[in-house]
Amino acid sequence: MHIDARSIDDQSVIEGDICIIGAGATGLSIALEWDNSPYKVILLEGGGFDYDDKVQELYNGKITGHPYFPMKSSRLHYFGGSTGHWGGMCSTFDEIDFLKRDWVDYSGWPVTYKDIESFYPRVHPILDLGPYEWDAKYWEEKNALKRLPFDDNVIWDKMWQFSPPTRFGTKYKDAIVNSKNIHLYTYANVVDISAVENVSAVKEVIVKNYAGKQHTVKAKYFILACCSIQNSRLLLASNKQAPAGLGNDNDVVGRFFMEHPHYESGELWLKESNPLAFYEMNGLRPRAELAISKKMQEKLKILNATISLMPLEFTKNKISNIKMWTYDDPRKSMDSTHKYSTYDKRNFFDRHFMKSKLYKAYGFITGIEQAPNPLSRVVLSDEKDALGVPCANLDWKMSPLDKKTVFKISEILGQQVGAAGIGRVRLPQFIIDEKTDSIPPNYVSGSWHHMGTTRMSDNPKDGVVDANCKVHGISNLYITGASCFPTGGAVNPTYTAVAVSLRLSDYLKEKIKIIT
Amino acid sequence: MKRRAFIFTASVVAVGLPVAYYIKKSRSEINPLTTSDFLSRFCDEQTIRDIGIKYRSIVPSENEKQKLTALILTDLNGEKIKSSNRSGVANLVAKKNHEEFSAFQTIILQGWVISITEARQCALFSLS
Repeated sequence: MHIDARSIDDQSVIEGDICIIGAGATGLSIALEWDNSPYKVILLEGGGFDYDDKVQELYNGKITGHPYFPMKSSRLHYFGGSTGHWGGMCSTFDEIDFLKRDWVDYSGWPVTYKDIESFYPRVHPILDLGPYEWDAKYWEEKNALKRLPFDDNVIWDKMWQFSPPTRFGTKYKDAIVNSKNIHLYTYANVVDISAVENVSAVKEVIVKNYAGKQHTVKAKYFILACCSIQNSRLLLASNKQAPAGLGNDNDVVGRFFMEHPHYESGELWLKESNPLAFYEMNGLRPRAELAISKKMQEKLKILNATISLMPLEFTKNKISNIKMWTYDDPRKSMDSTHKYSTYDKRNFFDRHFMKSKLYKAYGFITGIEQAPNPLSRVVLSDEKDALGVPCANLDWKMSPLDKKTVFKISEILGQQVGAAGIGRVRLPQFIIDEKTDSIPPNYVSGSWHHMGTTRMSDNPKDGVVDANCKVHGISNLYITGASCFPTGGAVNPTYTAVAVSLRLSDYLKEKIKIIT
Repeated sequence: MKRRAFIFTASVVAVGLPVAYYIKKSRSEINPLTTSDFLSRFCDEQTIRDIGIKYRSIVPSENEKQKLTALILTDLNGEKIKSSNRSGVANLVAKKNHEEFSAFQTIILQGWVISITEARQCALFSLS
């Protein structure tokens, strides 16, 4: 069922069993799990079914730390959320990503890899992925492609699968609109979360829109599913009863913002030309990236990371994501990215070079897990959006361990290439420069992956939500998505964010059954 | 210039493929003590010399032809590499290079991740 919140009476009171705030990948994944259930689900979406620049403007904010994409355009604010422009790259987190590592401060999830892995197969139909198969040997045989002859104990082939990419706003609109028990309210921007008197539970949320309407939504359970910047912004801005913001008694909300920094970190020179088709990014078939083994991460005390190989001709001419994505309007930034990205040049490349066997030289692009850093954070700015909510200010910060990781994985790849007798590796000066423990900003690019601002923890002092994604100290407020990740792994977050959401959904189903 | 030919030429220039030392010499001319088979495919003469100079500055105790020669001709077990001909020496040094990479015995010079023996070969080359 669909209701436009601009068209109903002002000051309406909307009631349901579960209120999901945000209709992006995670919010919609949960909502669909409750379709045809006896429970009334209120799904709140700030925008409509199509892009609306005035609504998108509500995401505007400030960047004060490391250079980043414009706040307004790095996410999408309409039905389907950022799946409206995501690239569809999916891969699993690794076992080590969930572990407490003594060399990575603030690492360790309160859940294990197995706890999340059991939900991964259910993610595949949602994201239109292929079989639940992540073993490189399987894909090597299936696609009759050759892997590089490296020692799996050092560098292994981490597989990626590609969602078409699924646009949730398109694929799931009918299912939501036609659902009898899911009540989708568009143009329903949550501007405040009100708690009961002792702030132990959420009483209601207030929604507003540009039509000047304000409504109140009451439910037994509330789920924040707006992703990292907006989830933390809403908690921080809901400060009438809790001065530091809801769920922020320990000053953790908004902290530990993480991305997947990417670096053009070296050149692979091969003795014999090789199309490296198993590693080729063509978006058509699963491909591999070179990942560093758990054993080597432990030995070298570095973060998780993967290396993507592309012909050197590409990487030499590649414009970094941050330089391509510069417009406040996400549509313009998207156009700019398509214009310059390797994806669009791929056909050109295939036509002119791929069959020529010219390529003995590849550039590698390293994507790393960012070290959790409490100083890397989202805070509220002094400015407010048109609906009166303080804007978000992103202060993205790096750590010395990030640089060490980029350097080490690049060096290890060089060692493996030498050991395999296939060529040599050359590293750029900014990687090997020992005079500094950071990488100059112009060599770092983000990936539009926002993680970690409402991190999961057993102890309320260390995080915002518990292992079941419930906000510490607030009995009926849950958060889902990558904002709950205590560490970000080395792969794109959507796949795991949806898995975490399905887990939360199952948990709430059990809980609501017991209560009712 | 035809578009295809232009693209080919431009790509070679853009990638900056150096005139490899290796392709300027025939195999029989190459001294295995001063030439890494691999590195010489990708680097020009000056780069190899620069790598060698850099290595000698980092490891001044090896800044001598005889010492470098002896070290190159000693295998990982400390045994002398012996062969009756140049190609035999080349194969044994190549094997040693391979073993050093596997054992993480590498160094980064002028950006290249190379084995210690390769670095010594470059150092010896830079003294010649």
